[in-house]
Formats: sequence, structure tokens, C-alpha cells
Amino acid sequence: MRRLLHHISMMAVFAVVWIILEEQFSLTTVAVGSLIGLLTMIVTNRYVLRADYESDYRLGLWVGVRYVASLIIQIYVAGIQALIKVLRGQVHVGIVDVHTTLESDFHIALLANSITLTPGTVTLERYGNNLRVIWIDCVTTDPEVAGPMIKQNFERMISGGKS
Amino acid sequence: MAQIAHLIGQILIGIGLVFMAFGIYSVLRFRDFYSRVVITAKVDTVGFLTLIFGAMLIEGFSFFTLKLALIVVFELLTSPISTHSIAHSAYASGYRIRKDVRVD
Repeated sequence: MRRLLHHISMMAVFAVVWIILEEQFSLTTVAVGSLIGLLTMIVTNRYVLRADYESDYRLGLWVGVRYVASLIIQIYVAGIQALIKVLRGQVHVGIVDVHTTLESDFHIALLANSITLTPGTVTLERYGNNLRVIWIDCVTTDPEVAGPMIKQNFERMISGGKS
Repeated sequence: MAQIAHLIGQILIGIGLVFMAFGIYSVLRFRDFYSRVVITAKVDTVGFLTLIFGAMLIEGFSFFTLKLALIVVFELLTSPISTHSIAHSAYASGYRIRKDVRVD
């Protein structure tokens, strides 16, 4: 039942994208969009992914929307901070390891993306459950202290949005 | 009303272009590779987003705006990946942080 619900919600997302690209809202576009969404999911499930579709892309729709909204706010904060750094010209670059409690690959990739977009940090590489991060004003290299400062609340938001 | 939205949209596009210009300036200003990567990634993303929001305001609510929203989503997904791959390739080929990071 849960599986079916997940498939239907993914199909709705694909149909909306199709309608936007097709530039008209009618019964035909909805039907064709859902059909193509279903076909995409079947092909991806069978030939591209090693695991199951819904175990790989487990992110609720509402969580996703809230995540994007808070990401955009963080990007603006990051941009203005970077602008100040450019003008003052003072940087102290360092490389820090950050530990994450997220489990699936997709969630870790999302966390790495949001670390890259948020103020002053870029993800370098990942090994297991650790991310290596460049930090532009490196206060400390201790992973325990640096972790919460770099991750902010994105980890909690991605893992289910219980905040 | 439409004219006010048009004006604000054009101002937003101008702000976005200013951000992008600062991104180019920061490449010339910093000497260290990693600080260049970090700063330009942020400033460019902010500039691009501001530009797209300005175009959205000018157009009003239509399918074109929704397409721009799709572009924003893809930008949010792909921009950090390109930054990450550049930084990762530098790190993997043995580039480390220089001790004498000077700025002039």
C-alpha cells in the first residue's frame, strides 16, 4: 500500500513536469505525462538502479518542498557572506572531516549538495559515513565541534523533517 | 501594477549580474585554488538565482514561469555537483592547501 502510494506520488510529479514542458493543461497531457512517468520508473527500476526505486529515492514531497525553500534562504546568506569575504579579502582555508548519521546513498548525496551550497563550505569527498569538507574560515579541525556548524539542520530535515 | 513588477524584475536582473561580476573578480583576487572554488561557487549560484527570479517577476504567472522554476530546481541539483567534481579532482591529484595563503 505504501509502495503504491509512493509510485502514485512520483507519477504525479512526473506528470506535472510533463505538463509544464508541454505548455498546456488538458486530459491528454495528464494521461501522456502519467504514462511516460510510469514508463520512466519501470525502465529506471529494471535497467539503471541496482536496488529498488522507492528504497533509493525516499524523500517525501512536503519534505522536499521545505528543503528547497530553506536551501534558497541559505544560498542567499552564503552569497552575501562570500561577497563580504571577497571585499575584505581575508580567508583561512582548512579541510575538516564531518560525520553523518544518514544511511542511504541518496540522502548522503543530498547532504553533500546542501553543504556545498551553504555558507563557506564545499564537499571534497565521501568515505563511508564521513564527508571531507573544505571550510573557508576554518575555526577548528575537530569533527565533533565542526559537524553541527557545517551541517546546520539539513541532516534532520532530510532524514524525515521531525523538527 | 504590471509596470512596477517589470521594474522590480529588471532591478533583480541587474543585482544578479553584479553578483556574477563579483564572482569573476574573486577569481582574480584570491591566490589559493580552494578559496577560489568556494567563493565562486556561492556567488555564481546567488547571481543566477536572482537573475531567474527577476525574469519570473517580469513574465508574471504563466507556463514560462513554471519552466523557469524547473530550471531553478535543476540548477540547485547540478551546480554543487560541478563544483564538487572540480574540487575533488584537484584534491585527488594531490593538490593541498598552501601554507602561505596571501591575498593582495
